[in-house]
Amino acid sequence: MKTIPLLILLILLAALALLLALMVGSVTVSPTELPAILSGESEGVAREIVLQLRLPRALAAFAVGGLLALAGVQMQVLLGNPLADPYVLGISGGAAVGALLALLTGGALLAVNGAALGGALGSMLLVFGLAHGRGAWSPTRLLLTGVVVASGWGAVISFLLAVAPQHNLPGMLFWLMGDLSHADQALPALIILALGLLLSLPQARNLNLLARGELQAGVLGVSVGPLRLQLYLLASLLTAAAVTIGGSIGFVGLVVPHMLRLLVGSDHRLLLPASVLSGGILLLLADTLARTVIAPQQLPVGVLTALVGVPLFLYLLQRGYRQ
Amino acid sequence: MTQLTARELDIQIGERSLCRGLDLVLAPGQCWAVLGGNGSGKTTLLHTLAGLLPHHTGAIQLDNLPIDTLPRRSIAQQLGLLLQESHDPFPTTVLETALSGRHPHLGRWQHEGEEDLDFAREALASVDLGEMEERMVQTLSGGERRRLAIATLLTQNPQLLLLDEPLNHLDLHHQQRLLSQLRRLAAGGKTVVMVLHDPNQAQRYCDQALLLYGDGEWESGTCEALLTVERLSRLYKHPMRMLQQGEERLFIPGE
Repeated sequence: MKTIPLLILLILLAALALLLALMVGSVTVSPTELPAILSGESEGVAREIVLQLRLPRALAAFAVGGLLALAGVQMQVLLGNPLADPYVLGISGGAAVGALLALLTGGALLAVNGAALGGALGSMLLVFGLAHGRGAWSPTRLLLTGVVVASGWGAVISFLLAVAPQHNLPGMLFWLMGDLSHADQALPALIILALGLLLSLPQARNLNLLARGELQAGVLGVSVGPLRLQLYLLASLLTAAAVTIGGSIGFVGLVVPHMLRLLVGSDHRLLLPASVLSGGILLLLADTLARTVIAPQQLPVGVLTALVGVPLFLYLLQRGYRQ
Repeated sequence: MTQLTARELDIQIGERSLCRGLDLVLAPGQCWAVLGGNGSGKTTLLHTLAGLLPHHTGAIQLDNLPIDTLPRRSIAQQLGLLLQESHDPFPTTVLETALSGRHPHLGRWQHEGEEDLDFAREALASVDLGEMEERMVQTLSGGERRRLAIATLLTQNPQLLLLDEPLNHLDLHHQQRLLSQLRRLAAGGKTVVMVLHDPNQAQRYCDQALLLYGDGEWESGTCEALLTVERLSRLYKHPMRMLQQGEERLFIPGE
């Protein structure tokens, strides 16, 4: 059983990444000061910064990364396609249109988040309805419907950017590239992540079979219809939650599942929890970099996930599958 | 013992009726050959018998229970189907793939144990893949992948084995080896149903045959009685000849 050691290793790495995120920034906190701050013995600005600003943001980053990686694994199995990611069915596009409209009309953060969530759920229902319309639901049909709807959203996004007044553009672009600087509420995201993982784990072995096609899964005793529906709804809702909090942060949902498949294989009993942890770690590190590399200016975290992830992934791809 | 029966079954693709009023009793110990031209409904029939496709007329019963009321899992504990094609878009090993055959026999949280590993290893060895356990499926040849799919079915160890063109991609040696193995399984009390394209293999390894003419007509019976030059010529829409070699009859296509 290599499952348990690997998960323990990932949990330790996640803890290290969290400590790092708490220490670095405009005010550097040394490892020796950290215990005092966390236990409440020390007062002052450092404590405020660590507990009020860095901790919630770090936890939110971890949760969003985990949500995206988990949704990515599920979408890839649902569509039987290793190139699928959480955004491929247009959920982030719908969310982006909602969020950009709210930003254009000068909405507050809450309005932007609400509009993003509304857009994501609307897009999810739209794709679901269209793919289900007439005739059989096949992964190809679902994928095509989603890709076309996503392109539609892409056009609307371009249109909104083209007509937006100058002073609104930076905020809109940041949202599109994925940005965690407004993520100050970590608890809801962590709860959704935990629920998502708890609901998917019982299906882990079924996912192993569905990955080999709906017919093969049916032959070996999987009730494909209900499983497909659960996967679609769960992956969509997890993605909707992630984009509502962090905008459309690219790369995590596509590449984390792949990296893990290359490293540890395709058994979803391991892949699901390992993806959650690895996605969380990757986004946590990327966000820490995003707010420190050219401080005091902040970078959109989506830029960093790609900059960190691309070389890492290419290296693993070169190295080939695990032996 | 598990028995699969079809009564008054119609096989349709779209509006086209391929097979009308099919009555079939698949009993333990029997080895069936399903013969017919391309597009005559062989695959659709197998998928329908396995409960993967809905049937609008007639009845299919597994052990006297209508198959469309049974949960997939309990069907899979008794009935296995070798699909015509297999897909492996994600990296997995040969052993992991064969082990997936144990899925219907394991509880939700149960991991594969020693006994399941034994099933898989024995099945892999029986199709000559014993040395390739740790290979990635993506690196196998077409014939090796086919044998892996067969090993997965053997690992599942169902009472009823439906095989859709099991000989596809197999070399001559592995074809004969598999046919003998399937015949032994039937002799041991399993029910074997396979789609074949060679009437000679059918009469040599199977005792029962089902002929699907593709126009709604069908015939079933023992290979010995059913396989004649006239029927096969009609079945394949091609003139056939027969050579008698001692006890053995050989069917060969005419010009």
